[in-house]
Amino acid sequence: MLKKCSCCLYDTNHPFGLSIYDECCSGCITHKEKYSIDWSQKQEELLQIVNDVKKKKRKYDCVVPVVGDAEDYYVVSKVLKLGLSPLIVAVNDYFKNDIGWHNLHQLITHFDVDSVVFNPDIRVYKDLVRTSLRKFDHIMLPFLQLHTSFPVHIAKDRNIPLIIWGQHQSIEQVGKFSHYDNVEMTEWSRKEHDLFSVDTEYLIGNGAQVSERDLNYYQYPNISLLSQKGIRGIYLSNYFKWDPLKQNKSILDCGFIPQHNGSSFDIYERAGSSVYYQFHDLLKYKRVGYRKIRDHLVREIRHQRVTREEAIELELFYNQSKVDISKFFDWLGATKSGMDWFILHQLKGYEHLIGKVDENLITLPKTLKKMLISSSNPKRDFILFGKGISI
Amino acid sequence: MRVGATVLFWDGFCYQSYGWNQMRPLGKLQGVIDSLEAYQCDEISIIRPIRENDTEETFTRDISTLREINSMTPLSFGGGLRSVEQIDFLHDLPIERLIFSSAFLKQDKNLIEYTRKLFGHQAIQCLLPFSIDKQVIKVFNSEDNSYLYYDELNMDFIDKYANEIILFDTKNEGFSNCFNRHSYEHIEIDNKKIVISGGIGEESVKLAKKDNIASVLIENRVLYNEYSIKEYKNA
Repeated sequence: MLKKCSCCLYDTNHPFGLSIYDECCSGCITHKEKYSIDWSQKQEELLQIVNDVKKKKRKYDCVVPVVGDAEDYYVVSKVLKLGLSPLIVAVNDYFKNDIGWHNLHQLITHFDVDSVVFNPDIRVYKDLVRTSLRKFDHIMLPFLQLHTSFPVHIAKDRNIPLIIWGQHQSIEQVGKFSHYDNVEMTEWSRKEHDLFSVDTEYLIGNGAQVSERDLNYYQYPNISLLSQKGIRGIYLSNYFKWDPLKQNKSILDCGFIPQHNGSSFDIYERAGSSVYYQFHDLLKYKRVGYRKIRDHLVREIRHQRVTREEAIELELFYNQSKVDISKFFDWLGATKSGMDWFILHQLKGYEHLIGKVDENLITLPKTLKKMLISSSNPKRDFILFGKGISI
Repeated sequence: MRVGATVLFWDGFCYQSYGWNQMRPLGKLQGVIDSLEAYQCDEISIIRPIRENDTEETFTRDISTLREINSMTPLSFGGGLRSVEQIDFLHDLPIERLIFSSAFLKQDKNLIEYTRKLFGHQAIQCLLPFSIDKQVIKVFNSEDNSYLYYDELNMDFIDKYANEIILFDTKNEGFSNCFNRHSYEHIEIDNKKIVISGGIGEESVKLAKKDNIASVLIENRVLYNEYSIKEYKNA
């Protein structure tokens, strides 16, 4: 039976699962831990991990996987403050716009860190995106597979003992674990939360011209080998009081450019993507029954910058925002009739949300508005390779 | 000593429970079992944490999910097994053992005997979810949603009909190294028949080994980090 949380906007249909206890969901209950945790004690625990890693005296102490959005700036700044020597690892999703490329390269040059940017075989990548769209209504699965496995391969191949991620999404959203549990990166968590149980094997066959040998970095490394090498991955949100909007605003002086989008007020998360608030958001709506705006609003309800009533109103508004899907189909190499077929057969009931992106004209609550600044619009979408900065 | 895991499973989804009270969502059963298998877990106990809230529909749905499970690891299953009709429904399941709780508490000889004939004596485990306050042991009866005093149990009946007895510390469930050893120190049954769960940490595993306990079942924390079971095995 479907149950709704009376504190936020989530219900028990959340793709990560959700428990309701005394009318409040596991996500809201876990969020409240943030106000009772002794964070200095948590940071002591983190320092213990950091010191153990430093003792190994490797060229790089840790891998930091990034996409180039605001949270990555915050994570890298924390990693450097901890005195670690990071190797920044990014995977090209081929969906970046000019803002995305700027933000990625600005991150690397501003913090002056070594980096690896992996450009997967674009033929294989597009074939996987095509299959993922056809079978799972998802266009980011191939990227997510790479983003969550390639940095781990790098750590394994270069004997880098630690991988540092920002937030643990399932703790932040649905409170799957307590902050006290200090949950680490696992293959299980990757499949369950990042890939929604869709691993690489589901994207080959059935028409995809991709064989298993093309998929090395899409697959997670052997966990037995990782264990032998003592490689572990941690989430900073277990050690710092995580408040994405506040954190993201705090890194603006590092040269990060926020991007305006019509589907949410959040100009920091995944800024620089040509699809995240466009076709990807529409597909999310179809797949799970709500758009990204709900995740943002739930987060802000919990941080008390918006009330539940205001959030309901804002969600209704943003749920009507239109998305441009034609540029994605151009990128994919589909014909106009191919796109029309897809809309007719696969996006039935969502046609009214396809079109020119609206300017959003809603007044945000002051508490929320003060966390935002003016944002930019991209000049070019879908830039396959970009430098984004001149030195 | 075997090192295994307890997985709470209800209405098609796995959960973590803290102190027999607050539940957190975990994930799909097959995904959890796949990982535990990769971690070389010796056995997995799948328990439906039902109170009075079970329905035939939920039970049937859960059994259907269980029927689809692929596992090389020995599985045991229990939670809400209260009638002969339900036992008849458990054919073709990829499980090796059945876990009964209320049936042992109310000495339902017919049900236990019936199961014994179908599955064999070695397939029957008794689950005693207990809580200890000031050295007084109470056992939770899920059918009535109430606690019984340990002295009210017929331990001879349990010893005779159960191949193994799972002592599940409800108060310390979900927390590390808190399992209350007073439970098996007090109980008049050979430790070689005892399986412990609830509040298991590396220290609890060490002590259990020393006390010749048959098996430990780690609850929530098996998925907190990679290869967690190995750490416990080496404890």
